[in-house]
Amino acid sequence: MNGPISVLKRPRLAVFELASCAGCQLQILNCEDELIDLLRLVEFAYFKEAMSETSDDYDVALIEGAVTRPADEEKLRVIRERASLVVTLGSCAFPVGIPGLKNTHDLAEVEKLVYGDHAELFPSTQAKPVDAVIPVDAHILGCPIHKDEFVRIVTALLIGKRPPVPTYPVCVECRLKENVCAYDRGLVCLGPVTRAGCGAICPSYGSRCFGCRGLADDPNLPSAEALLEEKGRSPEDIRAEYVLYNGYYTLAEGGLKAKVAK
Amino acid sequence: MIDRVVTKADLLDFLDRLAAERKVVAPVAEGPLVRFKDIGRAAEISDRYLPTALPPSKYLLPPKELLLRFRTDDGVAIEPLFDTGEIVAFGVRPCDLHALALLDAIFIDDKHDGHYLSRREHITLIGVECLEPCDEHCFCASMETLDVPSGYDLLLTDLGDAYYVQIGSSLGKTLVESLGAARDAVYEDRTRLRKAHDSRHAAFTRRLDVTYDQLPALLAESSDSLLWDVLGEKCLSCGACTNVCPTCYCFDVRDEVDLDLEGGRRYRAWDSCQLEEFAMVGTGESFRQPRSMRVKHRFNRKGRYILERYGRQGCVGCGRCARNCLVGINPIEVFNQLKGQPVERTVRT
Repeated sequence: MNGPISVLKRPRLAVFELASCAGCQLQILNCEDELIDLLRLVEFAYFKEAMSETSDDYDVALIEGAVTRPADEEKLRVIRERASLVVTLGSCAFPVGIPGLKNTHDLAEVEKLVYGDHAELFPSTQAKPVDAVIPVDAHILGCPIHKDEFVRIVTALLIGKRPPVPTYPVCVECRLKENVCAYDRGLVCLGPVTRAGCGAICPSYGSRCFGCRGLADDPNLPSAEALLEEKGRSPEDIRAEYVLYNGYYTLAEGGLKAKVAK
Repeated sequence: MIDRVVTKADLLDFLDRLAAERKVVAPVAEGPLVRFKDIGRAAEISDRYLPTALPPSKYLLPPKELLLRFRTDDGVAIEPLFDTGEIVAFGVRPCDLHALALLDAIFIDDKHDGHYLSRREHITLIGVECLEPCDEHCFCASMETLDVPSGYDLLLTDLGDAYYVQIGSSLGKTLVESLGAARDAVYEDRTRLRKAHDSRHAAFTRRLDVTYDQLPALLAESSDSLLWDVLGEKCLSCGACTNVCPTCYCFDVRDEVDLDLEGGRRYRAWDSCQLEEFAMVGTGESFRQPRSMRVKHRFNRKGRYILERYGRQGCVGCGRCARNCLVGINPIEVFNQLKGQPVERTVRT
């Protein structure tokens, strides 16, 4: 894509929302200790969750949410035209997150369920991650994103460095936390195949990994699936595990394996 | 130096006093795991044999360690950081003492690593011998790491009502002198120590079908074994084995930039040869892309390369990797399978 932003310029950021809960935008506002410093480096041109001023003049587009309507695709193409860098915010924007659950149902049925008799007024599509529509330069992952990672990635982009996002799975960080493995607590966990960077936050608080950050670079999916089977999970259970956050690529042609190969 | 004997009650009193005045870390049991943690009172210490979740090397080579700070606003100013906080580590098991001796050989004798050295100079190691094997995964007897000739400041052996105390350094001598209630060991105590040692032989059976010094040859001739492919298909490349390994020390160095973009921090963080990026070079190629090669590399590091290079066991038989492997890759089985299979039957055709 386009080159990195020079540190000399004070880039203008725009935060957009597609189908999502706005929780990732709130995480930006939760950067309370860093916001003042951050605003010396960047300025916000558009951030509906935080300010009423709007502008179409921006360098970096931060996009929260999944694509669920034809109008979203059009909006993304315009954003891609205007922005030098496009960065996704959170699981809905990549790998598709909760909106992707829609894809397990018939589209017409879903539309009818939500809009009733007026469904034809609200044309919708299967839920897609942003990178299924336009090229994306970086992903800020998680459900929701973590404010520290947001600051780290924005800082890296400002100085033209590759965003410091791990390529390895959550287990790496979980072992360093000295957690009792979720599998030893009678749970199943997507930690072995999910991209780290969250500090294994869910397993650290007694839960387990649901895969919100998408797949690691090099997951051993057949072995992970054999492990889930060994723990008594049926093929339908395993599919449900992946569909929860990774629905788009799980259900797409070739499934998750095609996503990894890509 | 004359060995000492201290009653268990006096030792607990001593540890209570010690923990009140400085940082004492020791194994603490919580649920199914034992972890090395800061303790406030001796009563928190666990006497379970199970190796701690992370090895005590986490105090000498922390998982994420700040190496230096830098500023660029007024020329380039670099401030290296060395940790000088005093730590007393109590309850270090023989396997981990062997592992720490290896890290000393690498980071101090070979690499002269100032950050490691600073931490090492400020840690006191009080070992506690194992008289029973911890569980089915340990194979320290095979790796000959059950006996600890050196590498500790004090080494304690449970005699029932008291601990036999061997002194391994002048630091240990000073410490034991501050332990007022200890008395000099006499002939009867040494006899009891010998009996305690002898009693271990039946329990600590050799689990490997080879001696540890036969592993380099076994691994060298097993380079083309099909077993690596079988393990490669199972391995999740999750890095659990290397993260919990007391002799693993590979790290990556990274910089983080301050929000004013004028300064930052350099740190090192544990890395793992099991991760795809580990052997990746700037142009994107990885020298050990196939999982089978990464698994083979780990076993060669543990059984062969480190021993050949440093003359010390690269695996201390603690069994942590086996306990933590979700798909059951177990060094006892791996080494025994390599030994059991005639090489010609395991060579790729």
